[in-house]
Amino acid sequence: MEQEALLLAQRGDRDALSDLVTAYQKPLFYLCYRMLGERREAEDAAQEALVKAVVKLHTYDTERPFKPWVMRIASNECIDRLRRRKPEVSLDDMGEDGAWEWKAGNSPNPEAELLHDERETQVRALLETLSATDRAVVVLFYWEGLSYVEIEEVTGLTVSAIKSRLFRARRSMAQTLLEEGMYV
Amino acid sequence: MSEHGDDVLIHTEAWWIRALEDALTPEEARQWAAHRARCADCQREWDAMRHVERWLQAPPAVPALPELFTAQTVARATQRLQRQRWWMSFAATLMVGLVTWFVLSSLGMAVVHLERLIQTLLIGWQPLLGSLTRALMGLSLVWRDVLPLVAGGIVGCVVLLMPNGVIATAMLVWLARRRAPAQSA
Repeated sequence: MEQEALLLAQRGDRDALSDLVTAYQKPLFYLCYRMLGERREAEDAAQEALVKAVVKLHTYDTERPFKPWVMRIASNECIDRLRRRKPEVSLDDMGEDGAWEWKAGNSPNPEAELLHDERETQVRALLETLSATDRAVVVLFYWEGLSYVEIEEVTGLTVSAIKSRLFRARRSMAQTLLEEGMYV
Repeated sequence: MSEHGDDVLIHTEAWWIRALEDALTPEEARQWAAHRARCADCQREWDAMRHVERWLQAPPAVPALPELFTAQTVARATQRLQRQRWWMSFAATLMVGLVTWFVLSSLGMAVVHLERLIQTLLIGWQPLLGSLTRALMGLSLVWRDVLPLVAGGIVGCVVLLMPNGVIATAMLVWLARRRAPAQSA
């Protein structure tokens, strides 16, 4: 966004605020949903991240890109929410506690849809076993398609730390798969 | 490098990261394949990690945002900005009030102290002036009686303050003058 529009948004101009929210609500909601896995909480987290971004706009360095800055706020918001949750979730409990929603679809190929949904549920369940920061790194790398450098801007971690966390997250998920007998 | 040395290197995190990123050289890739062929644990873990990797490649579906999301977010942001401004104005008003109170109270104290000083000077000057006038009038009436006393005091002061050598010389001159008439007689 242009600097003028950002300044107007910071002053409370409703049109500028609306433009800012419209421009970033989807990527932020996607990130929050992928990290939190629950629709209502993701909506609330994305909304809170956008509000915090508007309130803290005076601290934003206009020399740097805006998107990583706002994504960092969203990522931190999600990490805080994840840390407030229960530390561990068993794979057997998934689907019962409502942490991951099941969406009914109208696919012409219900078996493939079912298989896809099952795999999605398992992936999300595996993500639940990771720490909040590791989960953020995995989501940003795989699902947001960010490079190591972009993840560095969002999380504040170094590239080597990101690579290490990513590897350990994958190894942890692989070990969980093996322990749970989901992969033989 | 020996086979044992290769195995140590292969079991490091850096090696696995490079293997997952397909960043191994052809020679390293061959070593890696050979190692997995004889190490069942590494092969099993590698397969599981590749499996996780494949699962992660497909992003999960994300539901659509509710229609009112933008309006609700704008309303929430506006409300938060207004609240922030209210608190900032409150803090600024409080700060200005405190500073004003401090300055005014300091000025008030200074004025009170100045007034007391002036009063003290005015009240204290009158009796002092009266006493001085009375003393001068008394002295003017009895100056003849007091004169020898004043002269004695002055002489005493001169003698006291004069150096001893001068006094001794004056005494010798005086004694010499007294003896001189006696000898001539």
